[in-house]
Amino acid sequence: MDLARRTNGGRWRSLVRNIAPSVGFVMVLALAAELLAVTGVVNPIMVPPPSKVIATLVEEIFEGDLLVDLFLTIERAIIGLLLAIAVTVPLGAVLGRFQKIGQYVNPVVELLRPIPTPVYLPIAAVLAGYGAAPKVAVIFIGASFPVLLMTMQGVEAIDPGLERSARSLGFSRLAMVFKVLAPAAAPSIAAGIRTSLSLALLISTVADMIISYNGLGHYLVAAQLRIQFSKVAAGLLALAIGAFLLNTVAERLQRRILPWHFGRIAQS
Amino acid sequence: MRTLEHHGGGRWNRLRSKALARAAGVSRILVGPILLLIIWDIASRQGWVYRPYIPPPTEFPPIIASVAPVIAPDILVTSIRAFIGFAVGTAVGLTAAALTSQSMGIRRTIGPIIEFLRPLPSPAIIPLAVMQLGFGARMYAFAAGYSVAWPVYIAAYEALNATSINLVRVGRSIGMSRWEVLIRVKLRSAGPAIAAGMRVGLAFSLIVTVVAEMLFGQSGIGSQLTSYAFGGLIPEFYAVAIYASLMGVTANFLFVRANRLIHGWYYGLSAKD
Repeated sequence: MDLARRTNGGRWRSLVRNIAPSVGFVMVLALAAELLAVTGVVNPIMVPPPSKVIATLVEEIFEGDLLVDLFLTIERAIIGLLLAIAVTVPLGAVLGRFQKIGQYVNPVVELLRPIPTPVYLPIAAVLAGYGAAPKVAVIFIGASFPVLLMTMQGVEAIDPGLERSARSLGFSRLAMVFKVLAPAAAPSIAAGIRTSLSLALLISTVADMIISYNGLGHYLVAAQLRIQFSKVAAGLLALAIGAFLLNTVAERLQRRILPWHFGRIAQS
Repeated sequence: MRTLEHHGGGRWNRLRSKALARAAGVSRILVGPILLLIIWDIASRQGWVYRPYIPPPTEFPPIIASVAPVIAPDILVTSIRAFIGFAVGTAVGLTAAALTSQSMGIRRTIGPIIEFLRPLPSPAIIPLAVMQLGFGARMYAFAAGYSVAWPVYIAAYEALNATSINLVRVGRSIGMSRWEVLIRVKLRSAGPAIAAGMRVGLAFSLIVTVVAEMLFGQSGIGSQLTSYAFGGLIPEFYAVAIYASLMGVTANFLFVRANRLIHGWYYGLSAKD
């Protein structure tokens, strides 16, 4: 208990030590920007002082809908990603495992993959309007490819010796899939999911901008059209924080679920 | 004579089986896409899907041809915008990586800032860019460049720090300065990894350019996509979408080719093939 607390305290202290120089640097930059805006060297409307941006951020969080918009964007990204995982992990496993099927399906994947995902947005809106469904559908399409390809790669790369030894130990088919093949392919699948996560958030933001009445992308574009610079800056700051937290949580989860993989990386 | 004939026959057979195998390979590649198009066509003609919005693909070829002269200038404009963004972003990302890899102080100062900003979806920067720079070429250069700089920076930073210590020592021992080691040893050996980052950036530059055009453009392939789709010209929209995909495929193909020429040593190829 005491030991745990001490190591925990050490972790915080090292974190503070690591980010102290950058926090100082950002403070100096902010102070300079503040002075430039206050003294009127730059136009405070086009480049608002950082104090105004922070004030706007706080105001928009507590009195406006900034947090709601941020949550909507992240929520749609996560739903699209989960759907993509549910469909493409089994599909990728089958395609990677059974080359006979893969050789017919892979060309279709390669045909669809180069289509830039935002291209789907206008047609999705024409088909299904400005609600959540068309956005989630486009996020699903965009987030599918990295997971699909990394699952196929991970399953293809499984060491056949692993399978042979499991079989000689008398593993049943089901046990083979869940205790041998799945863990062996998991690091690759997880890497694909991480890529897809940032892609899903990107597409969700773009979908907000182009076919939406809400969400953080819409918030940014609306503020820009009304020439409210401090709102644009506050929105960007909120999105940066949200994306950073999402990414950090995903990394923590990945490490927790695949501890043996990261242990091996650290050793080698 | 007889053996010669036999030999010739064997070669013919081998050629024939090679050609057959190749034909079989090609047909295997085509089966899936053709099946997809047939199902799509039937679904559209039978009314399983709403035909005006998902028209049968057999109607596409004449539209693809007729749209081409209309959108040729847009393809050019979008390509130029994306390319400028690609060049700017690569230059910024590389320079930043070179500086941060050289100095512990800079690394400690801006490292955490970079870690914080990195997950921010790059198209979110577009409204900010429009506010500061307007709707012109500088906005596209900034927004697309921003999206390219990240993958280039990350790939370059990691590869520069992973340069074999022996290579660096060799450089030092023959009297190279720190900066000479950076340019002539580290950047060289990091080349293939940097190219991989640039390839990701290339795709981003096209995406961000198209998104900015969709939002604010009076020209470019992105603005054509939205105006055709929201104007109800759905088959034309699909035709433009096909051209947009071809742009991405072409850019990627050219990049991979150029990369093979420059980094042939890495892929174990001579520059000729």
